This record gives sequence, C-alpha cells and structure tokens, in this order.
Amino acid sequence: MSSTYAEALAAGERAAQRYLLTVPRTLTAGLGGVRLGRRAGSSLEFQEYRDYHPGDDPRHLDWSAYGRSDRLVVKLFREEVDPHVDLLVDGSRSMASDEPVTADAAAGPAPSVKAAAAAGLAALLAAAAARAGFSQSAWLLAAPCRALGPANARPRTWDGLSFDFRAAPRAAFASALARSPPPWRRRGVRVLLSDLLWDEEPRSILARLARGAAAVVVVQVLSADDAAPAPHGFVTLVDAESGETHDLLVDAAAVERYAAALAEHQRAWREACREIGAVMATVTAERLVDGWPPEELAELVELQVLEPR
Amino acid sequence: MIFAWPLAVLGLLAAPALAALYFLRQRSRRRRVSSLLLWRGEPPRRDAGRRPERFAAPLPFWLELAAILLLVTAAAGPHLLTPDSRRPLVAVLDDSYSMRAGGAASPRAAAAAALLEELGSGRHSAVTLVLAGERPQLLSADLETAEVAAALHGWGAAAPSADLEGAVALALELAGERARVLVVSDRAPRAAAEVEGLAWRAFGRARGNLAVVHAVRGGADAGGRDEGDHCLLEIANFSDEAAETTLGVRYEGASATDRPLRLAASSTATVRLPVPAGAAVELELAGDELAIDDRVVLLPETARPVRVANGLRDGTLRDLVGATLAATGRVRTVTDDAELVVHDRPEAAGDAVWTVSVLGGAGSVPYLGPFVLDLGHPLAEGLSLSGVIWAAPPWPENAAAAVVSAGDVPLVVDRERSGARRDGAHHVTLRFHAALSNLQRTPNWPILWWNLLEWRAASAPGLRRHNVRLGETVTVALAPGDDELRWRPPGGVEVALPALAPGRVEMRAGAVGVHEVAHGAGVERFAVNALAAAESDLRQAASGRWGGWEEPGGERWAERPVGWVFVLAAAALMLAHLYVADGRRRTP
Repeated sequence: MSSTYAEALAAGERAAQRYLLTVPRTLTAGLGGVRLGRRAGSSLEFQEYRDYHPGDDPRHLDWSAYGRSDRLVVKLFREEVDPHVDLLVDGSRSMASDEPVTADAAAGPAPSVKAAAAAGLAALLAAAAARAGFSQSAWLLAAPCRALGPANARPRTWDGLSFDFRAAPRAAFASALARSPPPWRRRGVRVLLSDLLWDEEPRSILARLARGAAAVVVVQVLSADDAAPAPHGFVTLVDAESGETHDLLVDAAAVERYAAALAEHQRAWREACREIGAVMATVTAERLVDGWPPEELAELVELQVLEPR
Repeated sequence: MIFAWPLAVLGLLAAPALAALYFLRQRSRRRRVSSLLLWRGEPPRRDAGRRPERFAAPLPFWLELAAILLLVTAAAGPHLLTPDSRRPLVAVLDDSYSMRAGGAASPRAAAAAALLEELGSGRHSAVTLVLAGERPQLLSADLETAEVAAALHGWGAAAPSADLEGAVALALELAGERARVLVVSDRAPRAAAEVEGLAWRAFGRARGNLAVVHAVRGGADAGGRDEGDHCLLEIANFSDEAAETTLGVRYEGASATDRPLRLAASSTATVRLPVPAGAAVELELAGDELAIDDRVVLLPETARPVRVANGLRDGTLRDLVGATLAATGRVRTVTDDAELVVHDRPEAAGDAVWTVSVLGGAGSVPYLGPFVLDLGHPLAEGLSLSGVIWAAPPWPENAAAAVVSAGDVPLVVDRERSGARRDGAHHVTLRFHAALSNLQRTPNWPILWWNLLEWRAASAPGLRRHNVRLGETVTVALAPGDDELRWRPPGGVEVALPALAPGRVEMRAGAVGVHEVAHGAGVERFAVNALAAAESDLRQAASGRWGGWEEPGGERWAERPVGWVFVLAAAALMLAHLYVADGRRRTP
C-alpha cells in the first residue's frame, strides 16, 4: 500500500460511519442473501399487494384475490439479496494531476488531494458497503487492472493504490477493461471513481462496466482546478497523462469556454449513464477531503447510493 | 523637428515599465492539468512564453509601446520646421465715419474687400486688427486669415475722428520686427509713409457733402429769460458748388415738414427753429453721399434750477450775490429746502446742505497776487485772476485745501464734510471783502458763481446733458446708494454699467441715436449726433497706395506644431488595440 494514501483511506473509513451503501433499484440478483432488497422478490416474507402491471411475473398473481374481486393483483414479497459491490478506482496519472510538477524526490511523493479524495471516497464506499452487508472488492483501473487488496479487506489495508497509469493513447481505458477486466461479481454493484477526463467515448467504457452488473454508479472526482480553473494568464499547460504541452492564454473568456466544454463533457457522460441505467455524481476533491462534509456527498445520497444513518 | 517641451521625453520611461509588465505577465508558468481534453478548443498562443528568458512580445504590446512613443512625442510639443515666407500682418482700420461715404461703394467696403484680397494672397500668417478711432483700439489679435472676415463686423466706422498716427504707432509696436503694417483709410497719409514695413492704402473719393455740423437745443432758463424752446443748427456745404436741399423737421408725435435750404459753395448756414417745448426734434437733410451727418435728434435740455437760499446779512453783499446768481439763469431762490445756502457765518448750514460762507469783515487785507489756483477743482475752471484785487480777512488757521490763495493766504477753501464721498455736502468758504476788492467787477466773479452752481447741479442725480456729440463722454450722476445704471444704446440691448468713479457713471457716446439710461432717479434719454465737420468734409478724401513691404531677406523657418498628428496616430493604434484585444477575447 502506498503510505501516501493511508491517511486518506482511514479518513474515508471514518466518514463511512455515517452512511450505509444502499441497494439500487436495478439490483435483481443475490437471492438467498441476508439483506432485504427494495424490489418485490420471491422471499417468503409477504410485503404487500399492488395492481398488476404488464410485465409482472404472472406467477406472482394472487388468483384468490382475483376470484374474490375480479382484479388482478400481485403479491409482493420482500426480496432477499446478498449484494456485492466492486469499486473501480481510476489509476491514471490525471488522478494525481495536482501533484507539483517539480516534486522533491527526497521528501517522497508529493500528496495529491485529488488522488487522496478518490482513495478516501473508495474507502468510504467500501466501508459503507461492508456496514450495509455488502461484500466488496476494490480494483485499480490500470493496465492490467489489479486488486487493491483482498476481497472484503478493510480499506486501510489496501496496498495497491498508485496513480501512474498512463492513459495517453486514445481508448486506453476501454482497452484496459477489455484486455484485463477485473473478476467482477456478476449482478453486483459496480462503482467507478474517476475524473472521467478521458478522450474516449463514454458508452464504450460504460458498456464494459455494465456488462453483467446489477447497477453501475459513476463518481466523478474533480479537483478544484479541474472544475473551475482560475484565469492564470499566459501558461503552458502540461497534460498529466501524456506530458503534452499547450501554450495558451487562460483568461476569463478562456475559463468560460473551458467551463462550457466541461459541462458538455459531463452532459455526455450523464447521457451515456442514463442510457445504461447507471447513475452519476460529481464531487470536488478539495471540498471532500476537507472534513468529508455531508453536503459534498449529498448527490450520492440523493441518488440513493448512500443512505445516512 | 524641434520640441517645445523636451522634458516630456521622460515619459519614455513608461516603455520599459510596459515591457516589464508584459515580461512579468508572460513569465513561463507550467501548470499540470488532468487533461488537455477540455483545453483543446483554445488556440495556442505564440506569446504564451515557454521559457522565462525569452520575451515573446504579443501584438498588443507592440501597439501599446508604439502608442506610448507617439504620445510622448506629442507631449514633447513637436514642431516641424518648414520654410515660410509668411509674416504677421497688422491692419489699421480707419474707423471714422467718413469711411461710410458712398453707401455700398463706401471706402470701408472697398478697404475690407482689399484687405481680404490681400489676405488671400497667403503672404500673411496671423492677422491683428487695430481700429483707428478717436483713440487707437485693438480689435482682434492673432487671427487666422479665415477669421478676419468675421472680425471685420466689429469695424463700424462710426467714430467722429481717426487717430491714424496713434493707431500706426500702436500697430508698429504690436508688429515687432517681422510684421507688416497695412493702413486702410479714405485719406492720404499726412507725410509720405516711409516707415519700413508700413503700407498705406486709401480708398476715398473726393466729393461734396452737406452736413449738420452743429446742433443745440435751447429754451427758457430758470431766470425767466424765455426765448422759447428752439433749436439752432449749423449746416455746412462741403462742396465747391452751391447746393440746394431740404431740411425735414419732425417733432416727436407730429408729422414732418420740409424746409428748403440753399447754401453757397463752401459755406455754412445757421438755422434757428422754434420747437414745441418738451418735444424731441428730428431734423434731417435730404440724402446725400454720407447719411450719418444728415440727421440729428435734439432732446429737450431739462436743466433743473438749483434751489438757493441767500442768507447774507449785509445788504450790499446780499444784493451783489443775488444778482450774480440770478444772472446765471440756473437758480431758484428759496428760503426752505435749499440745495445751496449762502450766508456769512463761518459754519456750515447743515450736514447735508451745500454751504458757501462769505466771510469779510474787519482786518481785511487786499491782495494783488500772486494768486494760486487749484486748476483741478471745479470752482477754478476758467478763472484768471490777473489784475484782480482780492481783499480778505486774515486766515485763522492753516488751510490745506485752498482752491484759491494769495500766496499762502487762503481765499477760497472747499471742505467735503462727513467724510462722505458720493453724497457728501461741500462747505465752501469764500474770504472776500467787497469794499476793498475789485473781484466782483471782473469776469471772475460770475465765473466763480457759475462754477459753483454747475458743480452743485452736477451732483444731482441724472444726466447733465441730453444732447451730445458722437464720441463725447456722457456722465450720469447716481442717486445716493446707487452704484450702477442700466444703459440701452439705440437698437441695442440693455446693459448694466457700474460706477467706476464715485457717484457717477461715465459712458462713451459711440453710436448715433437716442440712448436710454435708467437709474435710481428715473429713466432719461440722451441723443448722440454726428457733428464732426472734419469727417463730413469729404473733399480731402483720396485713394492710392503709399509705402510697401520689402520681401524678407534670407530663408525663414516656421515652426508648425505637429503634435496632433502623433495624437491621432496614437488614437488609431489604440483603436487597433481594442480590435485585437476584442478578437482575442472572442477567439474560441
């Protein structure tokens, strides 16, 4: 484990004490588990009746009720699930883009707030999942993808975190997922934590992520500079992934155009998420690690990914 | 090129400051970003420095630098030296009214046209106009040639005389070494114009002219010698031939009557006309070449009598003084509410009453002279005491303000009381013993009393005369407490005139016609008439050219300010800067 992120992992674990990971509505697998799902299922615990809708399993029709009232009603049973969550943390260099360019090698790796936020949020989600009865696995999205630690291990013991995957070639993420996909649990919940600042078509990545998954959650972790860069004037921008440089004038107008481009990029991702039934939330790293405030996780709560205790 | 303010070059320090600003602004700053994905829409900037040691100046920098250089150059007052043969011109304009003779073809019109034509030659730079009226007057200075035509509207040619010599002297003084002086008149110069740089051009034409050269209004006096209200005119025929004309007479509010006149060559006719009392009279000769001297307006001279109380106790002296005062026709004898008290006591009659103390008595000594006169005092005007025996008693104290004295013995002393300057009453002490003097049998005696009455009357509010000649000074005494009056010249607008002298306002009668003044004592009118025989005599008018200008030797350089060119260029650069900056903002 990189000791650089130990503190962040521990902080995420501590913040998870206020949350439980909830089961998305799309989760249908995991029968025979110990957790009650939200959907009507086939457990023996009767929940309620509701009117029949086309598409409902005709085996759940209450024919007795039909005989008495001439109405088609469906018997709802509380679903029993044994859910699993797979966390996929983007291990590309852009996740640590806020490290100083000229890091002092003797002092060790310079801390990256953005990477720490991603690591801490993964730890939070893993701990919240464990507390909600989920089994969980954490993976680093790199080439090849690798596990951060043993399944169901406490996040603070993860030792595989590093943000040095160079995703410079186009479609590097989709390629990494295609060539060495993590051994994901089928019908599990998959959570991707990344800045999503990839020059790739979101659908190709999301399609691979959603294949066999019960639900997909995408959490975009942005640094403050990613979200709203300041007008720096004349600067040479260095791409954290490729090292490519770009000389330009970052003035107020350029910042406005950047914000518009970011909004369009996020819109494309949300549209792609909507198409596959995934949900997407965005957090800002600096605000998140500054005490893990509930308002920064409010979008995840609103999306019913997290549930406050 | 020369610079008027070379120190403005210090403004060039702004150039390195600007360069430093740009350099600091462009210092290489490398920023690592998560991805260039969202920045790819931004066009690369050549001026976004990659290396701190290389100063890649953007276009706006060069525009701003050029603007600074241009503005500094403009601030330094650049002047371009160009060969220039032009010289300033000082034009002396004869402002006398004889320049009006001939109407549209008057010398004034011809002179104005000639002056503008001269200016059109381009030989002159700045133009200064000097009016030669009764006194030389600067009309406009340092005019551009295009401004002269408008300035010539101020050339009224309405003065009763022209001091051309004085105006030429003023012009030469204004001209300096290089300027040319041009005199335009209707008369030839009295002496050959040999002054260097002086040219004289005359545009007159000798012609005959009939003119009213004298006009007065008379009437009943306060002494009762009523000759009837009348006008007395002198009409001159300034021609070598006899002339016939008509004199139109019109009374205020009545129709005109024509009176035929025949005047011999070079003669003057006197016309006495009885006129209705109190009516303004307008008299006009039939039109000729010069209209301004053909028409006169005479207003009633309403001289108010001075109320005098004769309190002399000596009968002989009282009769003597009484008869003298009555002879002036300016006195009304009263016992109360007098404006002037004559008595034989040494003290004044009151604080606000003018008093004459006639002191004789025992111990008087006759003096044969020499008499010393304060000729600046109103009482001394016209006095000549040669051959006069003036007996007076000894003076008890030193008198500093003696109007008349025999050696160091004061004979007439004036004291202005109460310290008041504007409405202070005067106390005149006349030390005089009639039995031992012959003063009362000389012209000095009535002159002295006439002066006294004139002086007293002049201190009363209002106009002193209601008919004046063109160019004369009109004096209006103000009522106590007033410090200005309102004056409306004929055809003009009313203006306020302040009292520049204590208790009175003086104005120049510069326009022919009826003027109106409003002051604390009411509204009065006075008429101004052009009665200058010398100007009406057009037989001396002439035309021709005298003198001239020598072409300047050597090459002369003129300094032309060209700072505006740099300012305009800087403005154009800043507009280009705005365009460039706006383009940068809009570039996606």
